[in-house]
Amino acid sequence: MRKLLAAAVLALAACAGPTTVVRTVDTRPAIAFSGAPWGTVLYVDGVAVGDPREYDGHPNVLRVEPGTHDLELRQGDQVVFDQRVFVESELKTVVVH
Amino acid sequence: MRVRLVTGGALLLLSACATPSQRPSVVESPVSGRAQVQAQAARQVPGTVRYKRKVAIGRFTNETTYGRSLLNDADLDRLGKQASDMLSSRLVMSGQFIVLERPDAAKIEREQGVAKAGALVGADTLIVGSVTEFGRSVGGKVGFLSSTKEQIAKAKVDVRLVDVKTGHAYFSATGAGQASTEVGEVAGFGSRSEYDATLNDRAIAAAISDLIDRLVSKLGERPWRTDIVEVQGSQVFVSGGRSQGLRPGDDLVVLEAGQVVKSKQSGFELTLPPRRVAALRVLSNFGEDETSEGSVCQVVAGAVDRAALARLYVVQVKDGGQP
Repeated sequence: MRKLLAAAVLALAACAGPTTVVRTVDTRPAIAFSGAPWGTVLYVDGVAVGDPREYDGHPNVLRVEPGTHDLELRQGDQVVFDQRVFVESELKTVVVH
Repeated sequence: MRVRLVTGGALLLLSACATPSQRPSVVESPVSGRAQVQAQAARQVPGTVRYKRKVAIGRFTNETTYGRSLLNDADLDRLGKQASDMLSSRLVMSGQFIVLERPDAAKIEREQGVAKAGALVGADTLIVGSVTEFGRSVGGKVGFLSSTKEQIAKAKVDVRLVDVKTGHAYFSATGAGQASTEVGEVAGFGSRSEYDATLNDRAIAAAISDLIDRLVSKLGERPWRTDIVEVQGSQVFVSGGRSQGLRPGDDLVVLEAGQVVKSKQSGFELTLPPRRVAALRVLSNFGEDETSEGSVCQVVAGAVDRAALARLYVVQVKDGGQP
């Protein structure tokens, strides 16, 4: 009897029924930095985010809100790189030179 | 000796493996989402006076051979309309332009006819362009008992910005985008993926985002100037307010436009240097949004002749007191 019950449970568990999932998708864009110098701090729209080399795309990239952003790399008080970028839902690699 | 041979052989086998490239890992910012949105909005408010370009899409079509055979619509250009919609929505999203609707202007005019209100506003810049490159490829690597397969869609878009008054194409930009999906297997085990049709749309979307990125980063603001809408005694009302960066206390200068003459050299019209008529100081701003804003100014020197308003315009005083 127990064997029969176990077999029935196993048979039920093995059933492949259709599964439908409807959900919204997070399509916020991401930014990666290539060639960011050592010792700089990344500012996105004037807000400090951290070391840009942590977001070099190997494997980490920084998620941001869609739209226009002002990116700055600062070394102390000095701005060593700045760029205005537009991103919508994709990954953009900013090349620092 | 035998162990070394086995180790060497194992290393050789491993190095001969074809493995998919590393997938980027998206990390959330240490700054909260609310603070990010606030900082982004704060950056949109200009530090100095500026006036956004009024743009409309004149033509944006698919000029590649892709998608031209089956399932076409009345205009034979589904891909072009899809790309045009993407371009239009991203121009608005960038916050750097005043975008005027043209591809579906007939629908807006019909709605205005029903509401019995409004008239379409003219653009000063027309965007003309097309999807110039589009295609797919399948590639991959084969190693010892292993292989990878990558589907790639690539797209390129080209636009030029044309001055509506003169027909002068004063700026051009190109955007390129790529979308790919890669699968790999070792000894028959691994991930699987069939034809992914969404890659096409994602590549075009990425190309258009890249294009807007070029426009936002390379296209400078046009020189700011405004007009006088009304004169009441010593008070002057001018177009433009807070969203154009005009603040109470700012100093402005009223200039009378010089004569317009045609250059025989270039064929373009030249405007002779203007004459300084009066000086204004901004007292307050009024209006609700960037399309209905204005400022109240006080005349601090000279006089503004109401009869000559059509020839007068207003500019900002730069450092050193010169317009």
